[in-house]
Amino acid sequence: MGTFYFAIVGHHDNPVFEMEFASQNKTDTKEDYRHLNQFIAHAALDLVDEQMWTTNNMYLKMVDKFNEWFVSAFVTATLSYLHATHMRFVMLHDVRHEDGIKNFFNDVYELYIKFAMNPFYEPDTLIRSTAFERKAQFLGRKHLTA
Amino acid sequence: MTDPDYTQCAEDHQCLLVVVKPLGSISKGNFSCVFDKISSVEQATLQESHRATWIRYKQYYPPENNDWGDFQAHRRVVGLIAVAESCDSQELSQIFESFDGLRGEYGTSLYNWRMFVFGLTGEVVDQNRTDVDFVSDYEQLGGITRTVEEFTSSLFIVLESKRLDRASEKAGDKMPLLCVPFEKKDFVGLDTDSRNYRKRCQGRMRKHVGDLNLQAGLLHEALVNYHIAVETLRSINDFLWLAAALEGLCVASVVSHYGTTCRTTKARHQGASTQAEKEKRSRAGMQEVLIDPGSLTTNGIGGDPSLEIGRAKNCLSPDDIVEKYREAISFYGKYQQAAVIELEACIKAVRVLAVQKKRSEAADFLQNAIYIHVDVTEDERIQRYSVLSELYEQIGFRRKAAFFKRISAMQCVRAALPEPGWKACYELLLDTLQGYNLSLDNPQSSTESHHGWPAVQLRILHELVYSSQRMGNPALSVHHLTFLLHSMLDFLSEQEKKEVSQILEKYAANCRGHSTALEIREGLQVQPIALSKLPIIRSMKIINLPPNLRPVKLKSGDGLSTPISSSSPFIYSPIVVQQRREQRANQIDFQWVQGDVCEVQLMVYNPMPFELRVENMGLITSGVEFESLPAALSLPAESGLYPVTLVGVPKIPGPVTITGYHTEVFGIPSRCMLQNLSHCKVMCSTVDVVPALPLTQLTTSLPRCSGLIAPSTLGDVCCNVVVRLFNGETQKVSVQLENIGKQPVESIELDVTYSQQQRDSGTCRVTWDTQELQKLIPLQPGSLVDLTLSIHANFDFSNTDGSFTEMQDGEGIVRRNVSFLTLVTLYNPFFIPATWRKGDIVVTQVVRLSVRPSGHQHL
Repeated sequence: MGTFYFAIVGHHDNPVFEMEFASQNKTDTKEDYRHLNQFIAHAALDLVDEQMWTTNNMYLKMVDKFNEWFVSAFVTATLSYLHATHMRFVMLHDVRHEDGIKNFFNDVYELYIKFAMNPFYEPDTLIRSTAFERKAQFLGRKHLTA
Repeated sequence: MTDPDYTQCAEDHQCLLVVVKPLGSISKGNFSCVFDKISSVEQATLQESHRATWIRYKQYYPPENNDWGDFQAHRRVVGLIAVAESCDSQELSQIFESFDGLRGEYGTSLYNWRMFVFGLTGEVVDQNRTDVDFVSDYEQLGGITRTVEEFTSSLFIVLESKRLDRASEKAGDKMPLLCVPFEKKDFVGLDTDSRNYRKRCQGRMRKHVGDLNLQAGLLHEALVNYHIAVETLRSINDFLWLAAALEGLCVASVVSHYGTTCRTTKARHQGASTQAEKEKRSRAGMQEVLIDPGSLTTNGIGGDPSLEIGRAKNCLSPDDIVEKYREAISFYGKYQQAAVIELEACIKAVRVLAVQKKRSEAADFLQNAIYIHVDVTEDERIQRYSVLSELYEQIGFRRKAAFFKRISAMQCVRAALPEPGWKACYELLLDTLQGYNLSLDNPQSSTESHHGWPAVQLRILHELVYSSQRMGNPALSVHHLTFLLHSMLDFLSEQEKKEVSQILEKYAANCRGHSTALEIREGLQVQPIALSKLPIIRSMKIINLPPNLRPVKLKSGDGLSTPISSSSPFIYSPIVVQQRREQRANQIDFQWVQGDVCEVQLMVYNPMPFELRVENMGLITSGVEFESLPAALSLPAESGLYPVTLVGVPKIPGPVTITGYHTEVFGIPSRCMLQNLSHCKVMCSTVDVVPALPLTQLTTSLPRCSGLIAPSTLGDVCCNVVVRLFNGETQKVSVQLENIGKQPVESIELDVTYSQQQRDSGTCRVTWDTQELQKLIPLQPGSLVDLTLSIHANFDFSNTDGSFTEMQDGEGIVRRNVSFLTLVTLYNPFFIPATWRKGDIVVTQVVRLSVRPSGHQHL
């Protein structure tokens, strides 16, 4: 199907969570690709910042493209009690898969909200939770690479 | 068409293109002087009208681009200026030949041409070539300006005549078909009388007339012509020229909306864009300039209110400009050979959009521009990505700008290149740092508020280090690697920490880290990085001198214990000044002594997973002179809090403040100031240093006591000796006093402390001869004197309760002691008796003799 690189980016351009999804036939993700993906995702943040004001939706669809990679984005809503406003979810993918990506974003958003409601979790910091990772992996398998 | 011109902006359509070329043996410096002078003539005016046309000057222009002059009039070279330097007439003829050759290259498009020859004097000047000007030396550049002005006016005149020619053509006349180079073969053999063909001719001609009008400064006519051309060409689907007409329409609208405030002086060299220019572009044209009819450069209509109407009718609105540009570029996209035109159009559109602050649309256009395939050389590709990055910077997309700058840096050193350009790569990478939230001046050192994407930042820093190493500047690579280690320490894995430290050590072995500001490039200097995390200092405490070396303030002679700080005339006051508790706690209530080794204790922590060797660790102080004795230590891997004592010797009395410390780790020296360290707790960092006090040593030949040792109440250094006396006996004990310091001893006081029991029973007396004592002072350094003490034992055996304890051995024999051992404890064998006078306060130190009963019994 395709390879997907997902990242949740905080307010200071710092990645709070990163994960890759690849379908079974793709063997391995080389380190180089990982680095390049990070560069592309970082560069796409400009466009995400620009486009999030043009629409009321959280899902921004495809915001950028570089070589064979497409970048889709999702921006979380403003929730005053959470202080986790405008976290940017960025997805790099090499095949168009809008529906799957949209559903994935919505589910991960829910997962993220529940995680961020933990008062011991400081927003904008790295998410270190095996439960979160497992669930995210499950969602990726369900929506993206299934 | 080759060679896209990345510096084009929309206003260039208004300009007449003049090429300035060097000939002969003229030097680069001289030529650029002359070029600057020539380029200062930016506008050409006609005498009769108020209109002006703009001139743009280029040094390199490929003649094949000239063939597109019919398509877009600003691409045609209309003027040629050659600058030559010559010393003799033979060379002159050669120069003339090359000049004529140049003229031939540009063919019939030239309106006029000129040559300036420098360096020749009188006798050769009598040439009958009117197009050559002889200037004797480079000082007379003012005359050149005049000539150039005349020259440009002549160009304008020719332009005007051509325009009027074309304008006077009627619609029904037969007109030639204007073509672009790759179209020429398409139209061979076509029926020249068909309606389609004629419409095509008319449409194209109309567009051309619009171009000429734009160049001549007649905006209104230009707009009208462009509109007509657009309609005509659209009806026959002549897409390429339709796109050109749309672009012309956009340009004319841009000029009328924003005036020529967007214009900046072009860089001298093709493709280069200076910082000042970028700033000017971003500052100027921020708002739409509302054209004041009276100041318009258009003529013929000037001041006429119908201008406003005309403007409203024909001029595009800013949104329409974007639309039409988009349309034009999509039409250009249909033609592979017009790729350069498309690319330039994209760039021009982006510049316009940047002025209009339409960032998303500009990003769209730029995105399109990336994928236009133009067959370019390696240099071109580098330049292209650089220009893309600059344009992104203009619209405020810093991250994208950094991304493309990095790509162009990588292009500079591609494996396929015969000679990788490491310096260029380094320079470009340096420019990307800002977009990645890195600042060489200000390394971030705390994890909580780290800005930026750490993995990306690490990668960029590694590339920076590598390119500076390959560039051949080891000082820079050491600095950058230090920066990396310091600011990204928390984000490195264990393996990476080891690797980076090893590489740093290797680099530093070749080139020591710098300790002053390092100049990276012109105008950019960086301070040395203080590695305050290797090791991490958790707290710093100033330690008092060892108890036997502490200075003690003597009470003043009259016995009244006046408080030290009182300097008021009041003897007694009910108001007591309260000092705040924490201030009191934070203040240091001891002093250091000049010339003595003083200590500061630091609690450090090693964050690395391997043993950290710290060399040359010492204190940095301010205040009086303080000689710090450096220490070398080796901290175990990931140690907990490890105490480290740093010592130093104050040289001059006065206050000393510990401001920081310096270390050398991996060969990199670093100076860390305590005020910059947020994680370091310092209670108090200032301590007073008192002047030097003498140092004495007390020894005795009495046998040491190996048994019971009297507890030392004050933690003083003590030496326990044993004296055996019979009751009633007086024994003289000799004690040697040696001055081992550098100061003379001015007074000696002996004070005997008896234990409570002894005082009551009066069993033991120690006396000495005070006269003898007075004779001993002043005790010079290095001298040794004897003190004689008399110990007299006087035990009252009649008092049998309490003092005795009956002891029974196995046989039940009661023993009584007939004498007892007296333990004489001499306190402070090393002490500093001296006086230090400061007003009425006298500081000294006393020796104490303490006498205690031993309680031993024996027969």
